[in-house]
Amino acid sequence: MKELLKYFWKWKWKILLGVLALLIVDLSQLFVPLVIRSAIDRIAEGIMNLKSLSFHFLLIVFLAFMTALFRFFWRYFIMGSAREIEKSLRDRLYKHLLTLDLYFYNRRKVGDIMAHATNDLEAIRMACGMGVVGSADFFIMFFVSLFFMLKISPILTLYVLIPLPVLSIIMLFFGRYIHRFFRKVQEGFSYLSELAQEAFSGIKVIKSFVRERNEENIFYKGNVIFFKRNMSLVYLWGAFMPIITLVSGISIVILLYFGGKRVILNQLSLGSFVAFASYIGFMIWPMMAIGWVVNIFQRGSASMDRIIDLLKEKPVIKNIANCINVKNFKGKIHVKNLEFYYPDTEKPALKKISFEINPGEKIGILGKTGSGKTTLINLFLRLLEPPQGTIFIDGKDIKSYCLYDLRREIFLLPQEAVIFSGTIKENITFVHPSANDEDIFKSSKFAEIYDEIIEFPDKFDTLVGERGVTLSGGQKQRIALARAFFLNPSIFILDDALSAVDSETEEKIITNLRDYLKGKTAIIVSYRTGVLKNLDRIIVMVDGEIENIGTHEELVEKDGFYKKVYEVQTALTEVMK
Amino acid sequence: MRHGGPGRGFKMEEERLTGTQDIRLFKRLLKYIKKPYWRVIAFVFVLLMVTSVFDISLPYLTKIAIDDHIVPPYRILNFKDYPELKQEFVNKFKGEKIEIESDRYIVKKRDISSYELKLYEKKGILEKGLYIEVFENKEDISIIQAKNRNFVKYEDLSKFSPLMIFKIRKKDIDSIKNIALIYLGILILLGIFTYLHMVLLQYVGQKLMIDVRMGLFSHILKLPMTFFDKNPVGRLVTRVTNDIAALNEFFTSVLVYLFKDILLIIGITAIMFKMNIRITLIILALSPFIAIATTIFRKKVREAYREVRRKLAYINAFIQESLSSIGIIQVYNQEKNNYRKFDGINDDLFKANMRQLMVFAIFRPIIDLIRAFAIALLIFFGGWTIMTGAFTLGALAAFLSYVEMLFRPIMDISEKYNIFQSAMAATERIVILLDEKGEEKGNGKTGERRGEIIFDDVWMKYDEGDWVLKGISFRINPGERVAIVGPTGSGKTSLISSLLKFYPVQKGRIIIDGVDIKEWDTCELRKRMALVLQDVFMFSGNFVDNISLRDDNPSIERIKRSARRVYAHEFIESRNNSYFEEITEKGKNLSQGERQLLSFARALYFDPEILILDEPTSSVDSYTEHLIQRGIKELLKDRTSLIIAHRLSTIMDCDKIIVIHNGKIVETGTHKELINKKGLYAKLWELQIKEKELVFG
Repeated sequence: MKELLKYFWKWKWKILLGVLALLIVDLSQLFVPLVIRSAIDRIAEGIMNLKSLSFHFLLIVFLAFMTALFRFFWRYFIMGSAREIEKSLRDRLYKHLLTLDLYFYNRRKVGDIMAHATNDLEAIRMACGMGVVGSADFFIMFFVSLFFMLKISPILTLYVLIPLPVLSIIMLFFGRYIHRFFRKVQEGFSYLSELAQEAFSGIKVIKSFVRERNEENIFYKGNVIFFKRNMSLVYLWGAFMPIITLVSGISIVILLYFGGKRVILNQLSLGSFVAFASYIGFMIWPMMAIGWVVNIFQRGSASMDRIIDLLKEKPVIKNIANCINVKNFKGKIHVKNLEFYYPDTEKPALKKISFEINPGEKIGILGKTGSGKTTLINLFLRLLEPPQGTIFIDGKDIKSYCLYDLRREIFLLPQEAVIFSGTIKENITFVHPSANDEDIFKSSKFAEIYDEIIEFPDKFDTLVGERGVTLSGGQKQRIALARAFFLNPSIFILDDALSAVDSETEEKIITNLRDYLKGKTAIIVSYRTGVLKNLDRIIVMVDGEIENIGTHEELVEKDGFYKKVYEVQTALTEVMK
Repeated sequence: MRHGGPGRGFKMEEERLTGTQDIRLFKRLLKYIKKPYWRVIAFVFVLLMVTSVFDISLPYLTKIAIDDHIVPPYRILNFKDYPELKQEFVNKFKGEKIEIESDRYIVKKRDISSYELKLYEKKGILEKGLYIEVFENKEDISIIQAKNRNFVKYEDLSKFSPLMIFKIRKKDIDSIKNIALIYLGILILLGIFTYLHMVLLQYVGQKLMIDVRMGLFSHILKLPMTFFDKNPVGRLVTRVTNDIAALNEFFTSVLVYLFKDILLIIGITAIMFKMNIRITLIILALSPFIAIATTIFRKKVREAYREVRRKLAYINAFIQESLSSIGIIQVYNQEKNNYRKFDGINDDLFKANMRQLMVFAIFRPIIDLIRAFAIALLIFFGGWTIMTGAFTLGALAAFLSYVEMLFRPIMDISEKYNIFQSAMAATERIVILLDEKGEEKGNGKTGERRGEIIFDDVWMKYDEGDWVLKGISFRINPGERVAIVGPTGSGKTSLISSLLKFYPVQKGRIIIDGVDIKEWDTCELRKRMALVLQDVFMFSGNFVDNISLRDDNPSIERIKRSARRVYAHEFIESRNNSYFEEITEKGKNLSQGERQLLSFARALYFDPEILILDEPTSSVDSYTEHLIQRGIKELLKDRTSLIIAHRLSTIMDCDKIIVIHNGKIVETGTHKELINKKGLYAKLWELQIKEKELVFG
């Protein structure tokens, strides 16, 4: 609640203006019954004339205009600031999420974070919008109506108000239960969707084992559950409106008898009687609103707490104080006795890793899936945090460099090419949004993808990703590679990043890369011995350890993993010919 | 995705004009309804009629209370200048008339007809002032005496003692009490009836939707594989969930309530006309404005809402995508650019939200303004007419309520029309799906249980594509074990799909146990075979559910026996809840190898004559690998089997090996024969010895 109030405070002026407008609206509305009362009383007493009638008419119209005009303002100010709060909170949250590291993202599912970014923000917005309106409305409507009613007849007010607090209680109670039941119905609906999803996805198994009948039974049971949950909501929800009508109706009944009696006994004017009926009508909403508002604020502040918790998360990987700014690296890498564990695991992902790479050297890494290659590479870029004093670049622990510089100077092309929804152009220029067309063409030629892009209907403006064309794995990898063209890193790492590209194209790319890599240190992870054999040295990794380091010629002589892979691959190439 | 695109919306608009089209569509759905609940629906209609009457009667009760009991009843008529009217009055007036002097009469106001009232008012016969009967004289008050009865001006009533006033008006107070009690009674009945019809209506609606949903679901299950290849699962799920929900909404909140709205509008207009025609007409004249304003408002709201939904979906997709690839954003130092993009989208969303807010902020007050204007007009004309005598205070009070009640359904019209439209669109989509032709069922023939497979010059292709099987012929004798070997894309998968009648064969024949599969009863044929795929599909539920494929009444004994035979028992037992351990997220808590073993247990549980196995290629740890190999041996024991084989040991165990390439059989024979032949198989074999990893495609 405290955090929520902080936001209210920040928007206090707009909210205040909104509440002020709401006050005018409520006053104008609440004044109308008084006008009607005066009109009816004058008519009843027979002292009404055309002039006075016109005056009453114009007064009601005027009040209606005031109501309409200021309704605009309260909506604009209160709902508007609720939207602004939502926007700024989303902004704050997202900005924060961008700073969190993979440790956080491995711990928390993106789906859960999305729930915060959607449901929680919505609950907070409700609290800031309808919550404020509801509570302001309660105080203004309720007390102003009460004031007018008391002025007309205190004792009648007392009688008439007796049933109304029931509305607040009902709202509080119903609000909670209906919310719960409604969620159950939604879960039932999701369950039904899941069942259908499962049956249609598993259609092959279902058909081959002739389980259609059985699936129908299961789906039917899901239907029955959904039906039951719907009905329990209906049993409750169905009672809601009738009870509201009944409770407010009872106030009218009380008015009818006690008020009517007073009019008959000449203790109350007929106009007052009619005005009273109107005020009862005006009382219903605030009485309900107060129960409702409690729920909204509870939900809103719980959501706020969850968001704040998220905002309190701190990245493990961050700049040390006084980090070193560098323009570029010479490219000497030294790994010393590196041992690495993933959080909450007992088996090391990497152990006893030690090697040196000289500036400008081209190194290959070969290893089975799960042998720790990608972990090692992620440590170079501090996507994972290496232990102190294990990885050095140009003689300094990589932790002493500023993250921004470190990552700028090391270019990594990961195994799985990341393609964002958007155009091909946007994807290529992801690292350099202001690139001109000519450079974009060049970059795509550099990655040997140009010819394929211009075959697409919209060429470089073709949409890719979920709503666009589907790219093959090789196309994705080459688009990701094109990004490298715009950068000039000191160290270049390919993490098996051309695995889906056919060998002919791969060879062309390697040729293109040769110029690009001149003077740069390069690490190339690959399973293809054809690519690896041209590199200066090859590191062979098995189960998190280095099995061998050496040139291609040295490795094919030694019995080891490299040799085995090399032989099979050569033999296969022969067969395929 | 309940709404179709703009194109569909337009199409629906056209169809709306024909009208009969909709009815035809709905009729198609009626076929699936098993029990129409006509009686319940009829009862709901009766309840709706009763509640409508109650709704209308409540303001009228107030009117009676005011006009007949609260407002003083007596008026004076003076016929001094109109003897002929007096004659008519004396002859025809039905109510009690008390003569005060020769031309003046005191009468109850409610006995005067509205026609007479107007006339008397115009001619000045109706004297100003309201009178009330008293039972006591009081000196300082002017009292009209007539036939031993005393009347005083209403204003003078307060000069009597409170007790006296109470005595004077005892009858009226009693009547008011009765009216209040009747009001309360109606209110309670109204509450009960409303609750009853809401519950019943939902009950029927939900039941009907179950029928339609089940009909649709079983229809989809009967569609051929080619259909599933073309239609994404998500779309089909939407049909059985959201589209049905749209129908339900139409049924429960439009179709039935339309009846009530019409009843209310007719009832209220009738009763208003009865009270005063002119004022009613003035109010009704405003209703088109209300209707137009709300229609424009709803249209604007819909547009704004769609825009908001679009922007919201976009920003959520953006956040989701960015967070999922946060690593790449950070590696490339793109946090700032990404944030800038986010900021733009967030701003777009904000603007869309503000546009929606403006629609509400501008149009809602306008609609309320029209309603308030109606009230002002009512006060003006009503007040004026009361002064002329043709309208009463009670009627005015009742009108105040009726105006609200009348405008509500008018305001709802455009909303209901939208629900109707989306229901129609949903119906159309459902009917299109129902029109899809089901799978071939065969001629109901079955073969004797032997387990013999003959392929006789089989040619097959998918739709308009190239041939994937080009004249495949072979024979598998009962009990024989045959391996199919070949590189990826050689047609192995197509071959086994054709066997199960997943896809039709264009040329040639497949004969199983002496009967052409085209003639075979499809279900019976599939029951004879078990298909074990590499990619094991896991259902939600526990191990029991997954081995028995969620049998209603699974034999735990047989499940355990099957699991034991394929070495799945051990790892299942090691789980906390053993066989009843839940399998999460399509088997995410199982290793690839464990999933394989489970699929073997599944096949054994169903104990088929013929086993078709697509042997797993994926590498697993050596222990599981060992279990899988032993599991496969158990699986293949004593039955005809056709294996897409990848493992050395599996292949060597087979009676026959078929090598296929590009949809054709290249070599056939036993392992020995093929090695001696020194063909493709021999070469692949050579490689396999060197590298224990998987080589065969």
